[in-house]
Amino acid sequence: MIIIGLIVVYLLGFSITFFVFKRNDDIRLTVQEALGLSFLIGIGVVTVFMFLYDLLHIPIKAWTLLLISVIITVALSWKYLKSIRSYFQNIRSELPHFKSAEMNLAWTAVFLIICFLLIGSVAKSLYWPTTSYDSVAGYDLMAKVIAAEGKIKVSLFDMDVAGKRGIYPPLVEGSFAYAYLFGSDSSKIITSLTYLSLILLFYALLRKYVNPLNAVLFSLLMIVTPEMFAHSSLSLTNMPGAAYAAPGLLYLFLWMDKKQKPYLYISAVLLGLNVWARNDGVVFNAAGFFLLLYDAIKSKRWKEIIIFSTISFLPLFAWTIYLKLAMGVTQDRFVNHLFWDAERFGLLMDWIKRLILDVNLYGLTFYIFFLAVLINIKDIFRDKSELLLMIVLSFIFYSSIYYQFDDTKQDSLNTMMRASFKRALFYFVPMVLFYASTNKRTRWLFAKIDAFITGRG
Amino acid sequence: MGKKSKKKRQASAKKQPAQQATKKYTAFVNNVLVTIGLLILLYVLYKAVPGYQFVVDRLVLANLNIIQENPNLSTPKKFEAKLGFDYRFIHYVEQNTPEDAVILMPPDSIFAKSDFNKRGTWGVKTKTWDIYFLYPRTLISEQDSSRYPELYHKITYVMIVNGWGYDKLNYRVQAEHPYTVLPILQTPGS
Repeated sequence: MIIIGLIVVYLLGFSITFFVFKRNDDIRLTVQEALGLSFLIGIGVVTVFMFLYDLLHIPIKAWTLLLISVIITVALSWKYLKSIRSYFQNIRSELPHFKSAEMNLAWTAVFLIICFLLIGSVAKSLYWPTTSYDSVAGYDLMAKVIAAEGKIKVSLFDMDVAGKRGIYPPLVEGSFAYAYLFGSDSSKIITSLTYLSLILLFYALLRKYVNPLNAVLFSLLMIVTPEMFAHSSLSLTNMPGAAYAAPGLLYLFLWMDKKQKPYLYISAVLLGLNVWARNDGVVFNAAGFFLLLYDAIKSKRWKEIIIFSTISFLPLFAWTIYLKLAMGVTQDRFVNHLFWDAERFGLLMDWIKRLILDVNLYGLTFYIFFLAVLINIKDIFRDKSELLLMIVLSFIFYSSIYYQFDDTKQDSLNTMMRASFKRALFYFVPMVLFYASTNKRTRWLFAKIDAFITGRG
Repeated sequence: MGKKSKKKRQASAKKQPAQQATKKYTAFVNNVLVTIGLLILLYVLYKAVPGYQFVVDRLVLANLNIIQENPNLSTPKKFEAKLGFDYRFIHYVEQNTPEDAVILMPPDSIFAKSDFNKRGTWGVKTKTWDIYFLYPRTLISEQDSSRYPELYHKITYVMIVNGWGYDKLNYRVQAEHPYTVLPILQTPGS
């Protein structure tokens, strides 16, 4: 049963992705990109259907979700059936071919290491049941109850036991509920597929700029980032948040770089789903918004920023209004005025430094990023400057959230940094590694290696 | 001139396959060299960075070994391996109460003296954690009795923790186990 559910998710996601990309024939949707986007968008949109059903008092059941998913899939792909058929006919040529004479051994070796790590991650995820506290007392609990009761405003709210995790936007718990609705014993299949989709997408995005060896090596660096790898087999929200936010901003960078509309739409959809997973992800939408605003002021073109803002911010507004009207909850965790507290700022900076430089948590990820910025310093304003600005802006915005937290309304800053900010850095891992991989100097280095391998150097 | 260039062309045509073979051979050797170099680099990183060792040794290899050694471990056993006595107890409660049960939990002070997990927030002491395993059963804590008086009157089972709860039953129990779950009313034949 779960297989049917997942196939429908992939088809739904693919139909939306293909619909967006078909609007511009110049862009070739790669296999990795199609697979990654199909799942992330498909499962995200299914949770939007759940939300709409809840509003309309239609029960959230496996068959009601199947029905709407199939209708939307058919409606979106009907016009493009011929193109879809030829797309699948051409896919074979894109798959790696292992003729010994042409094979890049280094790429293959790294690819095999990645396979080994991913097998380990998926096996761990599917073997062990959900036991992490935040999930047992939060996201997975909500998922089980949503699946049982067929609505989002479940009975846990009446007994006041849904807790702070119960009011998270519904993407993660809804996607877990989807697994239960389709008869799965565990929701972790969703976590694993989300993680695999992030990796496929990251590789696909890197390949738009760099050669295969560079792309596969930096994908490995992302996968092996310790804290993030640990979360690839846990039913929590941080890794899914990163799986939407990071590719969302990377697609926005692609739009700014190549000015091809589908990238803007996909970015807006992913960032919209990012705030549908976690509210704090809004900082990435905000960073994207400011860059687009600058672009719009310069070019006097406003259409793009209006489209982006509408799609990417709408889910956040919808959920905030729903919380207030349907559940009577307002999120009030911040000091509502700007203030200066040198001690708090110092503490925040100290924590940030400790976390990003902790090799036990993030391996060499952030060191590699700083090194990349350093070696690229000469071209810092010319090469991938928009991407760097997005990273810096979103990091400042994200840190500001923690600075503005009202300690009287929740845990202390120390606790929040130790438990929450630590995981929030997942958002930045794909982005900083993308910068490190695609900047001019790294590309030059890998071009030399490639030339050496092929005997052209 | 013409004859000379023709000869040159013929000579270079003869050389081409040999050149190509040499080129292919060089490419292959370079390919192997880069691969060996890369693998050495990755091995050094694995050895030098504790976080990477943790990923490979603890998260991947250790788990694959456990899975290989216990391929058919049941879900309750897996939960027990991770959550210990807390899970064993909550699973017992789940197995011995009907789905429509309203279960009374002891107050926090009783859990503080019990054999359950005391570190962090997880464990039987936390109502939300219990609900995950007991849903659709309803749970009410002793300290919530005044907050939900109607529900309190609907209690059908009592969670006995560290001997607490026997006084809530309307019958006497001969052998008082420290950890169990019992119906609040004695059912006929029990």
